[in-house]
Amino acid sequence: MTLINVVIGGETKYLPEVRQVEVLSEGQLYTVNNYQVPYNEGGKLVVMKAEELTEKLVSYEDDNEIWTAIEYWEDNELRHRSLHMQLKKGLPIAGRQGNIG
Amino acid sequence: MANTQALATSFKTELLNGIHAFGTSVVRGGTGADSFKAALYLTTATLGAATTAYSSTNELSATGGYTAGGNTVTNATAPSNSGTTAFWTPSAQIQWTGFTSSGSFDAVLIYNSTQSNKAVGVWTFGAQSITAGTFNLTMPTNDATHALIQLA
Repeated sequence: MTLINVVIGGETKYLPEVRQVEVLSEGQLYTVNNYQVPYNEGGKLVVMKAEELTEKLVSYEDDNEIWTAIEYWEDNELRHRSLHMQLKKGLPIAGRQGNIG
Repeated sequence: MANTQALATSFKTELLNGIHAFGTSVVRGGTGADSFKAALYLTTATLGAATTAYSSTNELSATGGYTAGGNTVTNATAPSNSGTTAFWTPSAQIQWTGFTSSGSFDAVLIYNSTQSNKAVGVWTFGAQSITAGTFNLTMPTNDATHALIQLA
């Protein structure tokens, strides 16, 4: 899995969700599914380098929640971790009426 | 035909809609729905039933894509009821992008940013941390047994 390390508006970000990235060359713009992304979020999107990272999926479920995390590791260093958490149930409030008399 | 003692289900829904005021200090800013926000808290926080309002104490630091006070809760679905339970759930997931958490967190506080940041409730989950990524907090099904808030 190749993770694209980019700079958007001066801030380094990682885009592991983007699975089909055509890297034109280092320092140039790139395209995603033929859609060029040159000037979004107020900054110029520039590919700095592509790194080979290890992808790891972690998931968990119990009565209250279900979540899935996607992690990208470079050797022993965690470079990226995203998480989708779903709450399965909320909080009940019991409304009880008292008795008269 | 016999009478049945009960709290009116419509009353429960109307509580969520702010229709009834038994107290004397209620001040409403308008007739529209209030605005609600969701803030994330470190595992070192001690939020719970005694939490009365939003506080920045032990909230995630305002770094790494997190803004103090958290994100706005989408509220496009009015409170409803089914059977004898009234309920409400945010109408969309709450999302943080470009996010690196300042520590391990395990709770979200939903609070009313229209009404002096008064607390609605605290919901906990397994401790998590995010690194240069996205955190999606998806709401439960909006029905009488799963909704985020249920008045049974």
